Amino acid sequence: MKNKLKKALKLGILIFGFSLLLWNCDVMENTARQEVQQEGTITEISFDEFKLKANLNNQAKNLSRFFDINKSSFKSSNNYKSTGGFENAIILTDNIIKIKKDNFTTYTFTILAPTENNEFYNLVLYVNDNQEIYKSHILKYKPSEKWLSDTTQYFSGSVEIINNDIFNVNNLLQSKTSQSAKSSSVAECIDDVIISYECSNGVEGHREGNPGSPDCVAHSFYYYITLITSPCTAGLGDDGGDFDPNTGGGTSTSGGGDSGIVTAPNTIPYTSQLKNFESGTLNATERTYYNRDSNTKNTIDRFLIERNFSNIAKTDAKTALDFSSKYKLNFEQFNWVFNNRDSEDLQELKSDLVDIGEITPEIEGYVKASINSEVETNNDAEIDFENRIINILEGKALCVYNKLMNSGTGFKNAIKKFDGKFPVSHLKFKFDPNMTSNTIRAYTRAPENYVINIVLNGNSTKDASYQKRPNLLVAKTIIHEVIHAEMFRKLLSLANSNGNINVSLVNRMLQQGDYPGMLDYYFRNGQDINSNWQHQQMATHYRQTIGRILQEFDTGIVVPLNEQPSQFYMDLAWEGLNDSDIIEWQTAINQPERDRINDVINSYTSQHSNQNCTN
Amino acid sequence: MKNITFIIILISQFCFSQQKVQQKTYLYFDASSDKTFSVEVNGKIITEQFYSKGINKNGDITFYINKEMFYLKKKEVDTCKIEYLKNIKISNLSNLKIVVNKINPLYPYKVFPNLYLVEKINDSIIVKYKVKWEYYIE
Repeated sequence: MKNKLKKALKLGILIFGFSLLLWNCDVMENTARQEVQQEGTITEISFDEFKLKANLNNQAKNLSRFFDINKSSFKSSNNYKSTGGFENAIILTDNIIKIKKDNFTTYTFTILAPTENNEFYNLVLYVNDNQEIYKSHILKYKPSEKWLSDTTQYFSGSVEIINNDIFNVNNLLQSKTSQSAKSSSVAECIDDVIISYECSNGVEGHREGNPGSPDCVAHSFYYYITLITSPCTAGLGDDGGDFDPNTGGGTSTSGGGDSGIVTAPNTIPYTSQLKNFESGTLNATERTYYNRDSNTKNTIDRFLIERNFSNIAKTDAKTALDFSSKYKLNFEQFNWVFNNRDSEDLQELKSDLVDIGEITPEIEGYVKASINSEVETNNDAEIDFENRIINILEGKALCVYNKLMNSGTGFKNAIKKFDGKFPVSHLKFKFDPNMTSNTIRAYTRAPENYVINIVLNGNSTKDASYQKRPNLLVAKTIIHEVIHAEMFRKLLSLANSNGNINVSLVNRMLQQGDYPGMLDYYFRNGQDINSNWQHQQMATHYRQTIGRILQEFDTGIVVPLNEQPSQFYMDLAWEGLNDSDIIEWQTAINQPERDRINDVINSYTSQHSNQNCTN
Repeated sequence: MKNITFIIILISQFCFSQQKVQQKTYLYFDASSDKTFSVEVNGKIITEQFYSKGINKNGDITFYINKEMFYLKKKEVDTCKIEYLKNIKISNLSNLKIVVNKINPLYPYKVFPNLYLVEKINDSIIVKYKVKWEYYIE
């Protein structure tokens, strides 16, 4: 009996406990319902709701064509493939932040536009009680590292006001107010950022740890910011306003006029579709690459949005991300790959890479340099994948180069050292049409990422330019620079650090006697890698090579290796090595001979200036 | 006590290392200067401008100071009031060159990664260009 009583008591306590729990849940649910029922200052709305509250037809004619829903008309008026500028900005309409104040309401949209360093843009529209859009601002947000590491937190970072250079129109709004504001063209800078907190049940002025009442019983809070502005100080620019709603601070505000810019960072465009693409379509490597650079992400996102997330669009995006992640391309290179996804240039490059198979750092460097050259020349670069030569010479320079390649074997053999069978470094020929020097005929740079650049003076107003100089001496310049490149190639083979020469390692190795030929010149010329040792070595050991190639270029007849080239070509070979600090020039020949050689070079130059080249 | 000392040392080391990373070097670029230098070309002496710059179609600029080359990507330009000069120390190119030759003559930009050329535009405005110091051999 006693046991039965005990059991009944236990059961009673259990039932009471459950009912208490259910009652509590009911109270919480009611509170939640109350939260929902009370309309807050800040809400997220759809574009349809926005259209009911704001009259787009009269006040914002320019604005309409930038909305993503009107993207077909937008696309037809722009060159889609040109994504480098702001002209392709789109206003996203899927998620609009509405902030209701006493006399006005602001609507904040995300703008999808190219940015740097994970920055993003918002458009803030002011609407009055007559449903007129009467003011707009474009804001640029720079996220903090803290927020980037966890974007589920409330946004923190800095904000600045920018002029309307995103949209290619003079006045974003046609209203008188905005026109007069624009015409004054006084830039506004942010003095202060006031954070206003609002409980998710609509009560203003509270968050944990922040002074304000009444206490919030809801589980989360919203916040909006008021940007206090003043005219910028000329020349010093706007440093932007920092703010972090996660760490307290800020104050509660209410009512009043529209002084300051009232908004909240709108960070989430097409969230669910983009998340699906990221997690469902991309593999881990592609996903990492996609998230690595905000410009890449923006480009892909905009592309997918414009194409309504079609399967073809997703496949195109995935293919570009796959290729770009494999070769570790930067945004500019990725952008070329993406915009030229159907081009012959890219298909050829891909097919060459399939033939090669393995991706080595050297191949990676060459792919990057090839794409850079395509970007630089607007798809006009000649990429010789077999010989690993990128050529963006043109006109007479290209003609002389081609003639060199087709005359004899000397130049071809020199160039061969850079092809795929000698995977140390590769050549890139280009010209500088704006070179200011009247004496630099060309220069060679030390290898960077396995590629050695040879740059010809292409400023036709300068005496040292390839345009003004005789063909034979342009050929000499190219040979001279290729020999520099060969010397760099040897150094790189000795001390390679990710395709760059490791200078301290070269110093150590040379001093240990690992490369006797170079060591000799290195020590004799100041033990300084930047000294003239390359020219010293070239003057002593390479003049015959230069003279032979020049004679073959000029006559079309091969000069046998056991024969010396004619004196004339040997004289021309001195050009660039005939300086007073070159030991061979000073010691191997006397002053009358030096004068004679200089006369030969100068006479030939003046007699054949502005010479044309025909193949 | 030992722990506190250790933490203070650690924090000061951290701050110091941060400062070092962000250290900026400034060189003056006087586009209006008539200063020249001489170059020997095939036995003739030719004069070149000490300061010169060539602007590319895409907005990139190649600067030359004496024989040194500095490359600017178009975006890294900042306009400041002339008073800004009071807050910075302008370095001497010859001194920087000595450092470069000692540490990494083939890649000077690795020695001075935060190098700015400062150009006076008028009596009240200067422009700062963040440049890449490039090595080259003719």
